[in-house]
Amino acid sequence: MNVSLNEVEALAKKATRGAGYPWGLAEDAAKAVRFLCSNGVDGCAALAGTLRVFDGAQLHNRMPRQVDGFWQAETGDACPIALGAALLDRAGLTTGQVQTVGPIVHPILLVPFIAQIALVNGCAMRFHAGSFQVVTDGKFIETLGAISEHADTARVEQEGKLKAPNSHVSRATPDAAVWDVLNAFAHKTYAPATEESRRKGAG
Amino acid sequence: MNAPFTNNRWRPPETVMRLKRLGSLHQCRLSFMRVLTRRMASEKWQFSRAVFDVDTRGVGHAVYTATGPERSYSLVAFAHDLPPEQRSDRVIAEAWDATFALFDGVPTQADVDRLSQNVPLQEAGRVSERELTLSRANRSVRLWTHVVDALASGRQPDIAQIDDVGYLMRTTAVYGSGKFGAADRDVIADRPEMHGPFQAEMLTVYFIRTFVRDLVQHMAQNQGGDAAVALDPAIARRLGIGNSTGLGMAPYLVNHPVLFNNWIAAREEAIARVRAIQRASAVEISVFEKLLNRAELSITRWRSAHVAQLQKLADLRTDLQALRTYLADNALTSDYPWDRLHVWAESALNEEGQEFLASLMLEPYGELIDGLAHCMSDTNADAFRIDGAMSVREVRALLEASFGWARDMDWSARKNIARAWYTSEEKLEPRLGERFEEPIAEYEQPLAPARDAALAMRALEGWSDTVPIAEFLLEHAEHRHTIRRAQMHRVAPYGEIHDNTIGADVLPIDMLRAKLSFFGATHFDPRSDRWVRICMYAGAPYPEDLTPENADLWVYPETAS
Repeated sequence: MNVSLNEVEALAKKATRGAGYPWGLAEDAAKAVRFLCSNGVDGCAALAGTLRVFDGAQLHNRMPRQVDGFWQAETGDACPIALGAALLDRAGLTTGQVQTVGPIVHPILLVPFIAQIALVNGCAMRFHAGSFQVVTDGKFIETLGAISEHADTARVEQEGKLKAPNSHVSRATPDAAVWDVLNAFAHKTYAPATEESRRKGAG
Repeated sequence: MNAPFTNNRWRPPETVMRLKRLGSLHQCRLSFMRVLTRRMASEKWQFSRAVFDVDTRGVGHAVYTATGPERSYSLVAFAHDLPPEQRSDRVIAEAWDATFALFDGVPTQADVDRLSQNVPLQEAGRVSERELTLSRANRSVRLWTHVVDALASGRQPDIAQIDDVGYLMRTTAVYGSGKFGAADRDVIADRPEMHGPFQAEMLTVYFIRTFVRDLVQHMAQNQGGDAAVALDPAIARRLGIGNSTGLGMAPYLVNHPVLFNNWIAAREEAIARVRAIQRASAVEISVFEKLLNRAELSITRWRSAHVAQLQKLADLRTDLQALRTYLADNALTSDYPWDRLHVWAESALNEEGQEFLASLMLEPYGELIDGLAHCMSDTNADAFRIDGAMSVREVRALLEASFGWARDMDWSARKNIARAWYTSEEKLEPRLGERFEEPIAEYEQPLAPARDAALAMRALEGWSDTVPIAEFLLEHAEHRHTIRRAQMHRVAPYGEIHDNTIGADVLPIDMLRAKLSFFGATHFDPRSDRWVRICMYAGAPYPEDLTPENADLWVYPETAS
């Protein structure tokens, strides 16, 4: 498929909300997926995979905690949307510190949040997650190694320099199957049509 | 000439951002249609009609191209033979009299072929990154038939009927910004001619008006043959393009607080600059007085059958009389004449009259304020990022700044939360429903910032002032959306509507009018509390007649004198 980044962002927001996240986190997820797509990474697939894992989970089970120096979920794998938002919220409080992360699904979804941290700090950040690394200056990213769907641990540090960043692109090309998954989640935000709602509410 | 920013004289958000006032806004020099026509004229854009291939039934296509200093843009128009029973302005319609795409550049035959397979389907089709907008229009059957019949039989159409309707076709949607596969805003935002808000959409509608004029002439020619006459250019010029706008546009203002702020702030800055002028020259006073006469004529042609709008029109006419009396008693040759006038209006006129006057007194001062049009886009991507280091105390103050009035409202009372905004499964469009009568609450969209701010303020009770808001957000992710908006207040003091958007008495048409006034629309005609018809480009020169002399004030009809 060939879709606009606006379509990606709009669908990602609805899908994240449809999977039970609060609107605020859905907005962050949408911007994150758009950022990945604009940097040539398939953010749609990462989001679809994440939403499948956390669909229907209680909010507190999605939210990360810092335990023994590791950011992690209360049980199981951490959600990269909630964790990314938590790391970014602390950007101004943790400048220069290394952040370590416990088991996490689709760690690539943390990268857009780390890019924002790079903008806050005004310097590049490096992200290590198992098989791959990403360096970002906030606008561009450079990926090293094959992006994996899971990492047992990950690390974010204020370090690195972009050598051959990904080119920015203005379109996304998600798999139709992934797009369908996101649409199915988004669908949960739509109220079933009734004759009354047609009559009363339609514009 | 650059005046210093005078933001200490901006009217406060708690005055400006009330729904009743937003629902009384009028077009002004900063309106997007006028910004576009001024630019096209000053840059001497060239216009051409490369294709007009429409058959005797009115089916076919046409291509119109506008070329500016660096780039071309083309309207690809498709005309259809629509059975009357399928003609609907509702967003749930599936067929239209005409459909359009604005192409980025000059389309090849292959582009036109591709678009012919998709544009007529609208939401059910796909366009590409080469397209900037997608839109459609329906005929005003009454006026269309009258004009075709008149011209075909060798007569000009009746002016009274022209003025009564105002347009031959009305658009029912103009989609841009990446919708249905079109190019994202980012693709064009750095181009000078597209930097201002909605310039691609405004160009689309400007071209549609030209196409509609050409199409009605074509149909009259087919019907009348040798007996047919050409539409009098003076009559053609009176015709605008109608627009039928429903609820989809109302959430836009809530969903784009920084952008909306920039529109309001630019106008407030313009008003403040004019109020700060110590002496008005004779020429400036003359411009104001002449345009007041022309604006009054426009208001006499403003029709509506909606009870709320009738009251507003009555208020406006009363205000105009009061203004005439004031001007007879108070010469504009005194010092600070505009400030005096504005201060007088604040206590003497209704919101309709106040906002009409605020827009009108900007007219003599294009040199002073037209540059503000460059400040009306949202280029502040960083405003989205939450500052988690901000203290709870600061966040409380920001919430209070926009929503202090909402804190102590009873947000469990039915009348205060009677409505809910939701998206329908059927057409994926925003709707406003009755929370206690329909099963919609669990699908509610975040379009009630006042209620949500009140809930966040309550949740923040008990949190220490000095704690970073990041700590609160880890415990209360459900308020993340609201905290983000609160922080946007720092760069967008006019970003929030200071009224309840889900109360039993909310009028979505107020939000529609606020947005449409910035487009430059006139003659708002609400058809219910949630959809409105307007007219765009009435009085504007057609592309072949556009000059710097007529590119701006066309919105005010010429008076006989």
